[in-house]
Amino acid sequence: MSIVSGVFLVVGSALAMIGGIGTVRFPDFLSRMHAAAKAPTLGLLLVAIGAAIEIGTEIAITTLVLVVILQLLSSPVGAHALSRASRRQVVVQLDDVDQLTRDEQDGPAAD
Amino acid sequence: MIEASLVMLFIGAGCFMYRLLRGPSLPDRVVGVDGLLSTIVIAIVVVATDKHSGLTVETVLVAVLVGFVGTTALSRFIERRGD
Amino acid sequence: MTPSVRLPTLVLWLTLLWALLWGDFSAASLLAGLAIAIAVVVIARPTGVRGIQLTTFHPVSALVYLGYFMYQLVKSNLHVAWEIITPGSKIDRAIVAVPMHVSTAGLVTLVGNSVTLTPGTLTVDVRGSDNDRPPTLYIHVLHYKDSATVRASVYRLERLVVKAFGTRQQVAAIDAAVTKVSGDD
Repeated sequence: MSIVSGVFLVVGSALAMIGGIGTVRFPDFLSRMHAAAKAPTLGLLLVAIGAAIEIGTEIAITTLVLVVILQLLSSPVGAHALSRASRRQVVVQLDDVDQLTRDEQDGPAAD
Repeated sequence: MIEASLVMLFIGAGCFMYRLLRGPSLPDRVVGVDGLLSTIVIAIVVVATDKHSGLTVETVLVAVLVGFVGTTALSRFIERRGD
Repeated sequence: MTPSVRLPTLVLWLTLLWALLWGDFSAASLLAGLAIAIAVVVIARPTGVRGIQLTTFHPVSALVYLGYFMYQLVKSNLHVAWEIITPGSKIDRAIVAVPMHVSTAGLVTLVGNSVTLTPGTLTVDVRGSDNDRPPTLYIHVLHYKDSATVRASVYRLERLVVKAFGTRQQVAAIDAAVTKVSGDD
């Protein structure tokens, strides 16, 4: 196992761990979504790079490229779908402006 | 190196499971599931690297797609159900 | 002037998937993939997707977009990682409305996805996409300073996406609009 690919694996896994810690520590649903959607995605990208370096066969590399593309496309879409669907079910705690509720109530403002 | 990665992934998975079990609302639990599945995907790739097996990576394809479909399906369910 | 190519994107995407799945980029494999992709698209015509097909492609701008996107992806994760590690982080959450400049569904989707993967922002909703006017993205941010900063970063992304995948008129329109916005705010 070369050092380079090992580093990629470790950093990618660390990112996944940090994403997990984030979902535990953040105080509300939408913030947790931030951590859960972004961190494992980049973690997968890094780990895939490490795996591609280490395994090196053509089949592995093409499959990993496919996996990364699919994850990059599907992760934000899933996050968006979940966030959008959950707005009614979850108390959205905000510290500042909420232009979405404003636009829902008054109609889109020319802001 | 591999051991370190797997330990960290284990901790991460544990955190997502905590959110899955604790998360006060259903969407919080879905966040847990989504993160858990992504962590599992990463773990499979790490194990595949350890075994130098390119074929093990093929399973990851299915896992990613299933994860996406699952999260989206749960989102639609939440939207319709009106908890 | 970067050359633009009109491509039937769906067919090319399916062919690429085929080649990646089989791990085989030889001429035979690509031709087979192309044939199957065309057959699939003809038999199962995607219905009700007006404007989803991105049919223009500027290679150089697409690379710029990809590079910027990757850089932002890494940065956002370092950001989130730092926040999680340092205790007592002060977050200031808000949802900001960002009206788009283009109406093509595919482009707006790309912008929305890219926004989710950039530091501190998450696309929560899209409204006004059923008519032909440009829709509005609603972005949830973790550190809110003012609406203009949020909008500026989203517009930067939108501009890159349009330059990479938009038609010539869209590129011209967005260049004019963005300079106007950054001039007033």
